[in-house]
Amino acid sequence: MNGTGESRRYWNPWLETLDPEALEAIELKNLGHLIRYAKEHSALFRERYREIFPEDIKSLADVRQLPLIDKEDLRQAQEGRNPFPYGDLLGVQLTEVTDFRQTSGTTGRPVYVPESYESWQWRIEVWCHILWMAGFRETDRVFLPFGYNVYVAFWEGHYAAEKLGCEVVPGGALDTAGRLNKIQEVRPTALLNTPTYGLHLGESALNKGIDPRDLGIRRMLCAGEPLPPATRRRLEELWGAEVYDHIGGTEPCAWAAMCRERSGLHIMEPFFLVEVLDLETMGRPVEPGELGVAVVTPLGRRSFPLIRFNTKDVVRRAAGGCPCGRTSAKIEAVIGRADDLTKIRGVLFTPVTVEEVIRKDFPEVLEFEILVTRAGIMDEISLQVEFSEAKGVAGFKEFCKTAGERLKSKTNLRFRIEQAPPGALPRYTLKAKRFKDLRKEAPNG
Amino acid sequence: MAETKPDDHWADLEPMKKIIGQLDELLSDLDRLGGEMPVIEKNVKAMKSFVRVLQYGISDVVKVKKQE
Repeated sequence: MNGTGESRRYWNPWLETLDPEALEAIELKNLGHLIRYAKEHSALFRERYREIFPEDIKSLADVRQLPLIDKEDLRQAQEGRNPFPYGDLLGVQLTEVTDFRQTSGTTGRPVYVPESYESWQWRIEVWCHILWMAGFRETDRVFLPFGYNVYVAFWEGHYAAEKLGCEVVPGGALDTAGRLNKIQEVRPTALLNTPTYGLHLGESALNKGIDPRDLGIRRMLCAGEPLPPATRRRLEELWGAEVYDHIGGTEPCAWAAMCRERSGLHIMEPFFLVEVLDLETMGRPVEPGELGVAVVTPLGRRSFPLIRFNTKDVVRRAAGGCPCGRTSAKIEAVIGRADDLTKIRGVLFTPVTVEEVIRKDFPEVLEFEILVTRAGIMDEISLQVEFSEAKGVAGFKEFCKTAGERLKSKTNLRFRIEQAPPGALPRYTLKAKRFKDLRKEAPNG
Repeated sequence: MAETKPDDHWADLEPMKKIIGQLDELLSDLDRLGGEMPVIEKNVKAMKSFVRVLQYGISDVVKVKKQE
């Protein structure tokens, strides 16, 4: 292979075009290794898998007999246990740990995640696949307008871009104005950011009289939040760039991402064994087109063995096959968090539907927030919006009418729409939280 | 446009797997020769992490293709 032309479309052509049956065989083999390793090296799995033996796992049906594990299980296995601060989750000697990461703690106490140099390189390799698949190349200068921190966000993107041979420009310790100046100064060709921040950065440029389309950004990889198609299209129009999505988390790593077709996300096989299970019982793999919860097993990471992690990410499974030639299974869309999937007045509701409506048709909405409350026995849903002042009172009135109708049509719920003062709603750089269900805080909720 | 599957390159895999195995052995030899000198120990450890990535992405594919 001379390393030029068509073959360079893949980071690893052998792995990425392997028959699905062969991918499954590698995954099952590596799952066996992982179970064996975890039972020997992780106190958590030594206990949980006392009666489970790798030689008994011969098929995906056998995999479904293994217990699920979730974030709360990880917290319990860590809190107050040695070796500090990783407790029973650690899969290597503490002296082997080279990187500390933690979850954001938005749903409770954070989980501390240990990475050895070897495990970290495994994560970076996964990200190399993701970036290459999205068209990142040696010719790219990649700007990361994000303050990396104890969270995993963008560290992997940084190091993977470096490994690809891109030129990486960290833009952490700058405010938005400083980042725009830096973009004008060094002319990056690619951005890694959250969707919310990509919109904010682009709109800040417009407010300064700079058209983001003139800044030379060719591609953007988004992380940290769901990226509904309407938001992706809006980002593409704003920046004049190709915008890519991926999904992952601190505990399992990034496990699915978009290829250049930008139609669904490829599961990063065989690095991960990913099951999409039905929402009700979590016991049945869903059919293509059906919603389910992603259960992820990272197969090559020894510092933090994790088997059948319930990500609580709700996704829609896709049918197989992709014009890009990759043979991995795909998911059609990321719908949101299972925690955010809720019933309002008996109707199943997901906040991403609102984002899809707002981003698709109403660019005059600068920021929004969804609130669910309970008055007596009745659920109420309201949409708070920061609205472009240029559109005036009449514009807002028209928006309330049109958006109200579209939201009713999409969600079967009637929204109370209210205007928030300019700058009143929070701006996020990571994990925007635009959905607040206050019913749980109500006395009878 | 559909991308080309590199069907004609599967033959390269076996020699690559062999070299990856040799790299692993050579690094172990180097580690032994270096004793506990950090310059050897730490650099070998880093390189072995990359060898493992190659084992995962290349050597494992050879094994499964052989079973087909």
